[in-house]
Amino acid sequence: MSLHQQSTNSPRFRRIAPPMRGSLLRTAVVTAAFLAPAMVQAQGTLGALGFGYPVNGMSTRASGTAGAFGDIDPLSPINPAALGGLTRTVISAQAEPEHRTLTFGNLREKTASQRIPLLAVAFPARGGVAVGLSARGFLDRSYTTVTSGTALIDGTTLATTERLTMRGAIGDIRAAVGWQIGNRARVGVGGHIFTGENTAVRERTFADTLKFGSTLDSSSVTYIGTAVSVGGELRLVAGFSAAASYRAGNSFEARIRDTTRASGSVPARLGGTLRYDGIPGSSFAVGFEQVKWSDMQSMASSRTTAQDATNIYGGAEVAGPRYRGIPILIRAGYARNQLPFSTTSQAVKESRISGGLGIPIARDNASLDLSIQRANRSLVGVNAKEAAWLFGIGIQVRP
Amino acid sequence: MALSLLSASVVAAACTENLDGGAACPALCPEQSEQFRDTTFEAVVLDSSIAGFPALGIGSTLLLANRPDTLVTRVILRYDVLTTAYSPNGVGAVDSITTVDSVYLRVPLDSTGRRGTTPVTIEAYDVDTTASDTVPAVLRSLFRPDRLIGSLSITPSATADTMRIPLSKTVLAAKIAAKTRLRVGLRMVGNAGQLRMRGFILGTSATTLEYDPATDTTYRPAIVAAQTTLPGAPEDVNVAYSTYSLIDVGSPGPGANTLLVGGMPAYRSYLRFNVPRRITDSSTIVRADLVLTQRPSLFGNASDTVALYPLVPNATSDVTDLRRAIDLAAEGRLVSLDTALLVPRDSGQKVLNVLALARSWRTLNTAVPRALALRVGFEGALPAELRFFSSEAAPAMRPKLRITYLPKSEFVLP
Repeated sequence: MSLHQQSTNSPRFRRIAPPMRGSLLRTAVVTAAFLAPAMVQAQGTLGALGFGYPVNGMSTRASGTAGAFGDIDPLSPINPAALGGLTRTVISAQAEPEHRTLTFGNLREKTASQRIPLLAVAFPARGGVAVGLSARGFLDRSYTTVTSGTALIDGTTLATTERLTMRGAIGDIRAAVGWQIGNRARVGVGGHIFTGENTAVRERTFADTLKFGSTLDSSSVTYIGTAVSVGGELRLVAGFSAAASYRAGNSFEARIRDTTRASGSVPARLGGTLRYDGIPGSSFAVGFEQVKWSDMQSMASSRTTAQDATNIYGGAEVAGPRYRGIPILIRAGYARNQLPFSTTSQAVKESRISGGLGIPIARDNASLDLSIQRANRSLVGVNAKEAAWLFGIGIQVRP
Repeated sequence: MALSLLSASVVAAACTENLDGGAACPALCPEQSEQFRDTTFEAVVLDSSIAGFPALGIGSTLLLANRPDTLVTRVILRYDVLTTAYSPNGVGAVDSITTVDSVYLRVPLDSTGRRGTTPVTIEAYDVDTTASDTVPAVLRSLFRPDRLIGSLSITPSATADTMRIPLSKTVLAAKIAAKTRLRVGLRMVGNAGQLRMRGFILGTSATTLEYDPATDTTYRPAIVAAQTTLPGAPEDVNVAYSTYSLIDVGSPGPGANTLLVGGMPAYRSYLRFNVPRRITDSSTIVRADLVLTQRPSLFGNASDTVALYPLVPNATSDVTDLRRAIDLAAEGRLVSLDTALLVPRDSGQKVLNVLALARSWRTLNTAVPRALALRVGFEGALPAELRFFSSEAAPAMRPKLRITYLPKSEFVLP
């Protein structure tokens, strides 16, 4: 987010109500389909177990702070209250490729995943009200595994090779309204549709191709679920403000060929952030979130455990050197996360350190955000570690 | 025809698998595979052995044999149209043939089918008659001394790829003069032996009648291919009766509880299967074997290796005549079914790989019975046969299908 946006959405809450720009709403095409990642040369991962990796679809600004600004960022579709008081229409798009290295004993396997984690448009209405429409990645489940092994058939041990290709993602499409109330408070409410598709293709071959034929099987599942989110942000003492948000999940179904094969609930989420911006040009935030991923356990088999996660993070955004008279924003953050899905009773742990830049371009009509994150993941009891680089690039246009 | 309806008792068992994985699996691969399943069951609901293959005119080779304790055959060659004129100078005026010289039957041989190391005599008889000449008994009665028109003594094992049997110039000249036909019957006498003749090449009789139209050897010989015309018969029947064989002593029939493939006369066996649709339609078949229990055969070359060829009947169930269904069957190699090599004298279980056939059943029209037919190589010209227990035999001996398959699953859910 640029300095300009930061100022218009700071807890100092200036109420400006430009007319609604319906044409932008009509032209904003936001679908979860954009969020499906493309994988290259992939192998099994720690991060994408179960229903996938929780992309969390924050803006590049929030990613630069390791997620610490997620609850207070109007373009991160988490807390609808953050939209309140928006003064200009903003269109945002971003990409966030991830390069993972899985270390399993002495073996190292590298994967790359291309993601478009967030597409968003937000525009102000009257009376401090702003509307936001967004589509973000929620769970990314794309990988390929190649497994060699043996099968004992009719008393004979046969060498086999299995290649499992999993592609797909679940997206979160949100429509939200935020309202700035006076100078001290903002509230918001949002409606979510969670939808997406996973397609798995499994090919098995035998070393003896004359006597044994290969198998090629595929299976697809579509997901549909809904949720409602509410949030608020309150100015406390000088320089401090607090934000909280809650997402209540409704039914979440996994459908195979129009038949509901499993159902659960969209995971409930509770988040809170304490922000300090008493130093001009700077913002600091610490926060947490709890996600009740166990709401999805009933959708998974016994081989997958869905575990509730508590994530904590802290981050800062400070004004740096000026570029054409507008300061470049420098961001940094740190987070400790728990990933939702595992193959054991233990949760996959993730630590993440991040940095980023907010660069104004075209004066205050557009900005370019860059982020870089280093994530380290591990699972107790499994001799595997995963390290990942996530490179974010986002562009915001304010027509 | 043996017809049996069998209840298909399916015994399925899961195979065990051990997936060792690359770096990440199986520890990080929660999408577990379905287990391969093995099942061996009596899938044959109809089986039968049918004689009379190949149809006359279809087989490319004929067997001329004199093995009195095993196999005795004769060969009939029909030359209904003889060349009766020639051009003395090769061009220009045409003269009638009044005398002939160097009269031979030129018989191409398949050297792989020769047998016998002692001299034998090939006798040629004039078997033309006004009686019903398609009746074997009538033809056999014409192999008598007064109709002997030529002979050749050879040692079968020493023959080259062509045999020339001299025929009577007087007889042929008389037939040309009378504008009648020549019909020749061949048989082997003397010591035991056999020769495999090439019957047809590109749909035409391979054995030709050759003679010089004059005593002057500068003239090129007349070459006459075997051909005949039966009143009201279609062309394929005419071709069939231009060159064919008669069997005096052959192999016994299949008998009870037996599927017979090959022999003289040659049989084919037909097997129709009933495989549960959960296997053919809802699973991926990775192995399919037809398990047959072989019975030892002592007929003919019982110790030689015999090629067993699969055929894929693809006629719908509207075709109830199994002979017709087999005639319409496709060669197994067209669907990647391989040939099996078996020895007639052997016994015990023999396994035929029918994977490609079983995998094709998923997309096969439901009106087409799931079936397989079997034939031998050199069918009709191979003194060997393969015998298997049929579905009417004791349960342990019956034909069975052994299938390994992977059930389809919705493995996409983690």
